[in-house]
Amino acid sequence: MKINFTEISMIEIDSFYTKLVEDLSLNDNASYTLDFLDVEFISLPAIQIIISLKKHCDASNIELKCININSPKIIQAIKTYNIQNIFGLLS
Amino acid sequence: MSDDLKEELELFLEDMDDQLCLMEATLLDISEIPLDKIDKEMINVLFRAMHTMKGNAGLFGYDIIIDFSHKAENILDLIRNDEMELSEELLELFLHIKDHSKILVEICTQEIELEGDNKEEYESLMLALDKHLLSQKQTNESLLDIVVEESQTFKETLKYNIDITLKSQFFESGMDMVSILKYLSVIGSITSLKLIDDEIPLLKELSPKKAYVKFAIEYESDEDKSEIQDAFEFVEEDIELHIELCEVGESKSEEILSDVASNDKSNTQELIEEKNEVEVLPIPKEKVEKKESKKVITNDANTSLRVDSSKIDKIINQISEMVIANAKITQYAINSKDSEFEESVIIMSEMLEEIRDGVMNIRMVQVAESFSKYRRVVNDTAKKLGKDILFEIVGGETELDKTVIEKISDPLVHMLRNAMDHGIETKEIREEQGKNPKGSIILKAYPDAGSIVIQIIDDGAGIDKDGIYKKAIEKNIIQKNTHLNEKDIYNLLFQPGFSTAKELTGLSGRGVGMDVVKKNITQLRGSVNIKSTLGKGTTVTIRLPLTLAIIDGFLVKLGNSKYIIPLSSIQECIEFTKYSKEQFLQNGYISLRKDVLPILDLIEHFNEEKIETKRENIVIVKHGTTSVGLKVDELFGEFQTVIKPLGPLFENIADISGGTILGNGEIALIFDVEKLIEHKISYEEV
Repeated sequence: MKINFTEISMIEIDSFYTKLVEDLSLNDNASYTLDFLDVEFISLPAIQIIISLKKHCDASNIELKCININSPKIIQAIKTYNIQNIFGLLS
Repeated sequence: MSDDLKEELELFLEDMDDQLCLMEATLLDISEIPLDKIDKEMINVLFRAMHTMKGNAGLFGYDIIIDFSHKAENILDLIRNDEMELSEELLELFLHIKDHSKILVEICTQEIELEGDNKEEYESLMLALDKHLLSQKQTNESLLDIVVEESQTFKETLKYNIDITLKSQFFESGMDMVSILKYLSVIGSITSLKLIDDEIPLLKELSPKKAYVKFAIEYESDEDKSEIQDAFEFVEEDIELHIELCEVGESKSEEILSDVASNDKSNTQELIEEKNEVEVLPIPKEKVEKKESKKVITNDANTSLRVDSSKIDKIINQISEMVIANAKITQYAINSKDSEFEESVIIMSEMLEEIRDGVMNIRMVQVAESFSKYRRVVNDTAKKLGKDILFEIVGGETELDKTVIEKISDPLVHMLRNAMDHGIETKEIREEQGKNPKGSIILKAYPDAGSIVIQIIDDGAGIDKDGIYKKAIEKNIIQKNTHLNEKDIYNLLFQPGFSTAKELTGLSGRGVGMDVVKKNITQLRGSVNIKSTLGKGTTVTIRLPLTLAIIDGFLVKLGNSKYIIPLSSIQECIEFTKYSKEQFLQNGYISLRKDVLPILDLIEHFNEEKIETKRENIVIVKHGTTSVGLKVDELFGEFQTVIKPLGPLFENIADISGGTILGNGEIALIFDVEKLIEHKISYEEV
C-alpha cells in the first residue's frame, strides 16, 4: 500500500487520519509506504499520527517506509524532534 | 491559518508595536539628556524591548528579526555593562533599527521576500551593527588576554533539564513546537532532546487533534531560569513545564569575565562556588521588577479586553438607529396621553442614553499615545533642518474619539513641520535676537465646552501679516485695498496654493498642505485658527468635537422648521422680553447682567417664514470666549441627536454642520455654532 499525498486531500489533519485508518482496515498489507514527494511541511499532529501508525506497523509486522523526504522544513522538523528512526532517516 | 494562530499573530503584532513604541520613546528621551547623565535603567528598557522582540520573533520562526535583534541586543548588553560607550552615532543607529524592525515585522508577517531597498537597508544596518561589535570584540580580546593570563579563570554555563508535557489542547493554540525549540537554540544549546511517545495510542484510538507527546531536553545556556521560561510565554497555558537547574559547568560566559576583572578573583573553585550560590541568593532587583511588571500585565489582561474597533463602530451605528427609533416611540407615547406608557418610554430613553454614553466612552483614548509619535517627527525634522528644538507635550491625558485622533494625525504632522521649518529660527538668528538658542514647540490638548482643543505653540519668528497680504494680492487671491482683519489674513494661509516661504524645502513651503489641513479638520466638524506675534511665535488652535456619531442636542423651532443646537455649546436660555426686543431693534444686541450680548435673529438669517408665537426665546451659545444669543421661536428641549451627513449637494450650506431624523420622521438641521458666532462677530465688526 502506498500513500501519495498528491492524490488525496490531506490538508486537514482529520482527513489524513481518516484516510490512514480506512486503508489499514481495508487492506492487508505487508508494507506501507508514505510518499512525501510533494509535501513541504509536516506538523506535530501529523507526526503523532505517523508515530501511531509506526506503532501499529511494528505490532502487526508491517514494514513502514517513508520515501522522498526532500523538503528542508520536514527534514528540520524530524531533526529537531530527533525522530529520524521513525522516518527511517540517518541521524 | 487557524483562528487561534491568527489571534496569536495579532498579539505578536500588537506586542511588537508596543515594544517598538517603547524603544522609540526611550531613544528620544535619551537624546534629550547629555550622554554622561543617562540613567542605566533607560538602557535596560531598550535592552528588554529588543530582547522581547527577539523572543517573540523566535516563537514564530522569523529568522531575519531574530538575527537583527540579536546583534542589536548584544550591543545594548555591552552598553549596559559599561563595555561600550553610548554615542550619538549609536543612538541614530538604534532609531534606524527601530524603523527597520517595523518593516521586518511587516515582511515576516505578510510572508514577503526581503528584497530591493529593504534588503539593502537590512544589510547595511547589519554591517553597522557588526562594525560596532567587531570594534568592541577587538577591545575585549585584548582585555581577555590580560585577564586570562592573570587569573586563568573559568566561565560558566548553566545546565538544565527541561520537561515539557503538551496538554491535550496544545494544537488549538496553533503554535509550532519547532519554532519554540529553535528559539531555545538561539539563547542556549539543546544538547539532547527526546520525544516521548509513550502516551500516543494506537491509530484507531487516536484523536488526531489531541496532543500526546512529551519532550525531555538537556539544555545549556548562560541565561537564568526565568529567561528560559519566557521562551514558552505564548504556550504557557497549553503545556506543563518543569525546568530544573542541574549544575554549573565551564563555559565562555563573558559575564563572568567582567566579574573577574572587577572582583580580581583568581581562584576557580571559589568562583564556581559563588556562582552555584546564585540560585539561592535573593533575586536581583532587576529580575524582581521584571516579574512584578509581568504580574501587572497579567492583572491587566484579566480586567481589560482588546476589541476590534470595527465591532464598536457597528454597535455605535446600531445604537444610532435605536436612538432614532426611540425618538419615534417617545413621540408616540406623548401623543397617546397614556402616563404609564410615557413613564416606561422615559426610563427606556434614560437607559439608552447611558448605554450610548458607555459605548461612546469605549472609543475615547488618551491623546498621549498618539502624540508621542510626533516626538520622532520633531527629532528627525530638527536634525534635517539643523535646528535645536525642545518639544513638549502638555495634557496628554486628554481623551478624544479614536477616529478623530487617527484623522487628525496627518494635519498635526504637517503643522508641526511648518512650525519647525518656517517658525523656529536657526540657533544663530535666535541668539542674535536675544532668544533662547533652543527653540520651543508645545503640543497641548485640553477639553473646552464640549470640544477638545489642540494647540501647537511655537516661540519662533511669528507670521508676517503684511507679507501674507501682499502675497495674496500677487497671487490674485484678494483684490488690492480689500479690507481684511487679522483673522482673515491668517485664514489666507489655508487657501489652496498659498505659500509665503522664501525657499521651497523638502519639508514644507509648497503651499499644498494647509488647505488640505483645513479641509481635513472641517470634515471632522472641527475648526482651525492661527494667532501670531511677529518675532515672538505662533499658536495654531484646532478645536474638535468630542465624538463624531451621536451628540446631545437641543431642539428648537424657527418658523415652521426644526433645528438642533449642540447642547455642549449652550450656556442658558432666556425669554426675549419686550424690553430686550426694543434694545435689539435699536442696537442689534441686548444687555444681559450688565454685559452686552450680540443677538442673531435666526429666522431672518435662514430666511424662515415669520410666525406668531406666544413667547420668543434667546438661546445663549458660546464658542471659545465669545457668547452670542440666538433668537428662536420655540424651545423643545434636549434631544439625542444622531448626526447624519447631508450629502454632497447640501454639505456646503453655510452655518449647518449636519442633519438628524426626528421621532416623527422629520429632518432637523444641526447648527454649526462656531460659524454662526463668527458670522455675527464679523457682521458687527463691519
